[in-house]
Amino acid sequence: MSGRFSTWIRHPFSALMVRFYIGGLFIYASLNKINFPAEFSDNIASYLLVPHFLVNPMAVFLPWIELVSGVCLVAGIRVRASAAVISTLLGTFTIALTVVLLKKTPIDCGCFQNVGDPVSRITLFRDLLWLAMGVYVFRYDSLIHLDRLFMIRPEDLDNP
Amino acid sequence: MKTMAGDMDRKQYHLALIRETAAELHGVRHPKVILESFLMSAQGGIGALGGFAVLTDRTKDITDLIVRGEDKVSHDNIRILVKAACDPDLSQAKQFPFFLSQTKIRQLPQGFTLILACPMEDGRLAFLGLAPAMHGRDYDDEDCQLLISLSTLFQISLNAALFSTRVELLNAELEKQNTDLDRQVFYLNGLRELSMEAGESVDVEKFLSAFLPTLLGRFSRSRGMVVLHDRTTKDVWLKSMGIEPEPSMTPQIVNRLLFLCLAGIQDKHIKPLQPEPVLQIEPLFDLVPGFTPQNVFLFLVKDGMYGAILLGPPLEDRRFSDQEKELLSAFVAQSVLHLKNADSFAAIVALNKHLADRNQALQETIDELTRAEHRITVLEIAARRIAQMVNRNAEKLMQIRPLDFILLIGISIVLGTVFNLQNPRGISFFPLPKPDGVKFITALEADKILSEKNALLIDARPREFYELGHMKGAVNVPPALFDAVYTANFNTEDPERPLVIYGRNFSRLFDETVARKFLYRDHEQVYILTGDIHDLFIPGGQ
Repeated sequence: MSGRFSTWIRHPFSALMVRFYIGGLFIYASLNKINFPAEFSDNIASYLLVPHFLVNPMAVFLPWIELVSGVCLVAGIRVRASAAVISTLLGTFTIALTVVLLKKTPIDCGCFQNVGDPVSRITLFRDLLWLAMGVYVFRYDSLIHLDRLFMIRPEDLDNP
Repeated sequence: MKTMAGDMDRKQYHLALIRETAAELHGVRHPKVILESFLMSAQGGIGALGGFAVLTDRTKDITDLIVRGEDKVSHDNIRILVKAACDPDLSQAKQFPFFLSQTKIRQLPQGFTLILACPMEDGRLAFLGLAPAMHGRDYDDEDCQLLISLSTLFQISLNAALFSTRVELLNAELEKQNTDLDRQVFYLNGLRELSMEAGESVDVEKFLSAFLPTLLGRFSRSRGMVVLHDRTTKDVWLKSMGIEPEPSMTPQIVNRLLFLCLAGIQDKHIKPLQPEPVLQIEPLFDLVPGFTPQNVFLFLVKDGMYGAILLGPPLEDRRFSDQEKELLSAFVAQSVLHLKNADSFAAIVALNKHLADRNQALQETIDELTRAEHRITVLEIAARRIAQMVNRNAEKLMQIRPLDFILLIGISIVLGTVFNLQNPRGISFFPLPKPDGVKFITALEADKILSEKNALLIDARPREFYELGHMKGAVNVPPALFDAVYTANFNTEDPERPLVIYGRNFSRLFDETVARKFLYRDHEQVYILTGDIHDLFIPGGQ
């Protein structure tokens, strides 16, 4: 059973599916934040973790980092780097959520919508799950990499 | 006394006669002359009226006969006499001359008084017969003694003559054998010369050119032809000598000729390298141009390679002996063997040439392979370098480089900056400056203003924080809801009423934001409460 699970986990197709999911998720999450940077800025500020002079720049750039990383994941461009960026973001978010939960700060998550998504343990669990997916993609993804399509692969040299 | 003198004279006469006879017989080798001399000496010595001398061979046949003074003596009578003399009862195997007994003599048909038999060394017999003496005298012992002496001389001379004759015969026979041997030596020399010539010329064409004159010369033939046909390669070799004009035969005619030869040999079957004489040569006459062959040999060099040797009539009009025929066969067999060798040599030469060609091709292939190997080595080096480059690039692709993060973040910053500048809802990257006309006061000052000037205390934080706790009497005006709250609660408010605003944290300066908005709504006395005021908060809902 564990062997089959391990095989399934290690299968490149599984990693590809997870990659598409995480990439699409980040693309989706970034769109509203990009359109409404002021509201996202309030969300960031509500965490009370970022100095006030960095809140606005973060509110402007962070959604774009999410978008670019998500697009790269879906397109298969610099996948590992993108997965590393996304995993880092998710790790940061998880830490922030943990802090907020510990401090019992009554704020919205700001993950997708600026309002109506309060921070909870579910939110934390969800972020942890996404973090695991990001690490999984980083570790096992190997299919459909756009940046490899236009170069000779080592295995092609053995079978010209 | 007179008688004694007469005896002495007679003895002297006999001795002189013996000496003269010996002198006469000296050197005489012909038996007939010896017989004649012996008869004359004997007849004269004892005064016989006639006589005969005869010589027989081993079979007692008369070979030589001399008769003097006896007309009645015939050849047949002498044969009867000899036969009677050879009767075992009359003659004994004696080595010395002896007289036949008078009893026996009287039984003979002629009237001979004395008959002397002389056995020869080789088994022959000689007889001397004498008629009665002249004047009716009887023969005495002196006469017999003289005859014995003469017969001894005769025996010696005749033995010598017969021996000489035998030697001559033997010489003649040896000479004849020598001639045969010379002829055989001649033929064998021919074979040797042929072998030497064949050793010098290993080519079939050259061998045939050398072989045919040798064969014809050795066996005294003026015309001859040798033809060879290889059915595998359809090659035909034809050599002739003494035939004008030079014959030419098509492969079909040659094939036909060889077929007729095969039909003419004894068993209609031929083995390789064993030439067979063709017995029926008449069918070949129409096919052979220019001469009529007398001896034809068919031979098989190897499978599919037949040949025939056709010899014309000999120059000498003599019959060849069996030995010569055998030598001719041996000569032909030797020639076929050389032909086989020549053919094998040609095959070896062809094989060598083929091998040389193959070696040349192989060498070229090796050279080409060497060049190809060199090219392959160069290509392998290039391939290794390309593989190293590809592997490096692949590893780079799989590796996470700082440049990747720089690019991702850089692109995001560029896009975010550009989009934010273009976005009507864009925000400032930097904190806004402190609003003009706003005074920053401490908690004591705020308390004074609140109590003395009836100032309005405003909590600028978001509603959630307000509800957790706020200063007593504070009104919650969060920046996000400023317009709505202001419309609902501050439209009727006096703009000159002092406003004391608080609410800032590590991440957000809500108080400055709200103060700026109130200033925008023409409120003149706006104060911002600074310092640690959390101790003044009361729980939410009060």
